[in-house]
Amino acid sequence: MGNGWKAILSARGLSRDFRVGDSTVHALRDANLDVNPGDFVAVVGPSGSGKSTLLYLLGLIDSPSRGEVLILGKPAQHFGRERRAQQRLTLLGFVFQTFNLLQVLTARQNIEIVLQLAGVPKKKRRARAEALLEAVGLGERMEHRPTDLSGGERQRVAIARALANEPAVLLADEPTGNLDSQTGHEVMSLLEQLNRAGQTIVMVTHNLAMARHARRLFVMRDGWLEEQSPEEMPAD
Amino acid sequence: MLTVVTGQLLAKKLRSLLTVVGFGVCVNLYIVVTTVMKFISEDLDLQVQRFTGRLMVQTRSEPGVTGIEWPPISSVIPSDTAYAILESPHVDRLNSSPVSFAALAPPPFPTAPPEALLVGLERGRENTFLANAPALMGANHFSGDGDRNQVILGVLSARYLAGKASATTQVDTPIGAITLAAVGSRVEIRGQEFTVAGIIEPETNQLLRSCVVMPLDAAREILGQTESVSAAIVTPKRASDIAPLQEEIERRHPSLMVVNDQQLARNAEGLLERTNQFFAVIRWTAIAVAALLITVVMFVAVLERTKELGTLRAIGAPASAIMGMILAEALAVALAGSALGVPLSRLVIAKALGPDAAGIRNRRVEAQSVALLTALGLLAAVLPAARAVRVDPIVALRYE
Repeated sequence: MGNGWKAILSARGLSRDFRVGDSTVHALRDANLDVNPGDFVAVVGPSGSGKSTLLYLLGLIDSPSRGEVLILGKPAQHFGRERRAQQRLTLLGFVFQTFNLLQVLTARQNIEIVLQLAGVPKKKRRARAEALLEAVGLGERMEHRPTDLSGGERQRVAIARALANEPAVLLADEPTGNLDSQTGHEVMSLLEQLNRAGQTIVMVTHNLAMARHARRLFVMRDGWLEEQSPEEMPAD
Repeated sequence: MLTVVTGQLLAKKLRSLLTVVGFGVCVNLYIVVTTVMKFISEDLDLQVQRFTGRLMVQTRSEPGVTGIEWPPISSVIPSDTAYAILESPHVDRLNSSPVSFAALAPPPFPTAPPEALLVGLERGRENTFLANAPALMGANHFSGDGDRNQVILGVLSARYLAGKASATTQVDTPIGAITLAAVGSRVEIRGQEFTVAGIIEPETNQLLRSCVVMPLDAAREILGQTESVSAAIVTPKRASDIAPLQEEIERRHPSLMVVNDQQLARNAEGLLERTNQFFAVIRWTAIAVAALLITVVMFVAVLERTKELGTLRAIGAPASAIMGMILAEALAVALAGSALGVPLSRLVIAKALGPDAAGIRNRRVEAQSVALLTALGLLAAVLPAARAVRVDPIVALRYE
């Protein structure tokens, strides 16, 4: 675990319970984590182990049953809905398994909308969106709608969108889950490249091969989160 | 966010189109009904104004469902009685005349006089009915060349008689060119030929637009009124003579009644009240349908787009942006519907009222109707917009 005082994003005793009928499911139990600037953290675990729950809690999309999330050292549990939305817009960038691009917009417009929400002027929006699409290798596909793009291309657009407001942390939920192996490794190479350029990344995946691209590895089992040193990393 | 709004509307082209058409029909209905209400109300006011200071002596009758009959077409009074009344010292004889009325065509819409209304007046007394209304073409009085068979027409009656005229003329109106019986032409009325002496300016009132004013003797002849006329139009010498004259006539001739401008105004008010009640139902129905249409369509749109809305919330869209997006969609539909409804209403009004529509200045009604229905459309979208704001990003992301 890193040093709390310099962490961008921290989890302290984070738990999340869900009521299912008469019983309670403990999706996440007492998780502790510090994400430091420049980290590339991968959380690996099987489906239903609580990885996405952890990511949504860290991303202020969901609220914990117990414990707290700290953003730049400040506890986020007392933030209202709109303050949380503001934090997501300016400090956090999201990449989803199914890309979640707006189908009615082109690749460029999908990026511009995030900039517009942050109040970036129109001219700057366009230039920034084009630069980001160039950076992820989609300079020739800017005016295409998601339905005209391959899965890998869509995920690149989603990554570009997540980077639009220069977030402190990029949160990726199974970013290769809907991609074939080769395209998945290409997307991971892109994330690695971004991390080398200084972008902090937290990614959850069930795929250990993809997780190996990260610098720090956490394993999630039945809601328990545990960090593993590179030496302890399983061979497969 | 406007890009998203436009994109969504274009993505569901058929639904957007049908919603726009539906809203447009409601706007059209609202404007048409409001305009017709306004037109009827203003026209009745103008009729009352033109009658101010005059009295109509007619057969006494109990007011029917439409109030006092106006003009008193079915009234019959002996011509001797009519002339005797006009000999009273309180009467301004030069501005009073016995009058014969007859419908030459049915009314174009309820509450309107016949489309062609025969009005027989003593020669030189035309203004007892026309009240100095200016002529659009020709003269607003009979010529003094001794020709007994002359008529002064209104625009509606001139159009109605164009088919029976020896010559016609085209007149441009805001609703397009219309064909009228030409001034100087001969028109056939009830088997006799008349020369058109003039056509009255259309921006007067419905009664003057429909009139076929002819000399009283000619009118009585073609109507077979040998011993009678329909009524007498009486102008008292002074305003202070109105009440004593009215009292004197009704005392001497118990079978007659005297209608003054105030009674006529009350009559018009009663008639308008009943008509407006009916029109109000149509107007409220148009409003309710427009609002319901927007609510239902926007609710369906919000439910369909749970994932999209959740994604927007997840990436940090504030509630105001989501609310604005849904309201902007409703606004776009309302404005597009209005853009369709306004020209449609102009077409419907022109078709329904014909040349009467030429006198209608309804820009204000159009603007007010569009503003009202658009505001209601936005209000109707508030509930779906509030639902959109409440979409939980977690639930939306579970759509995966």
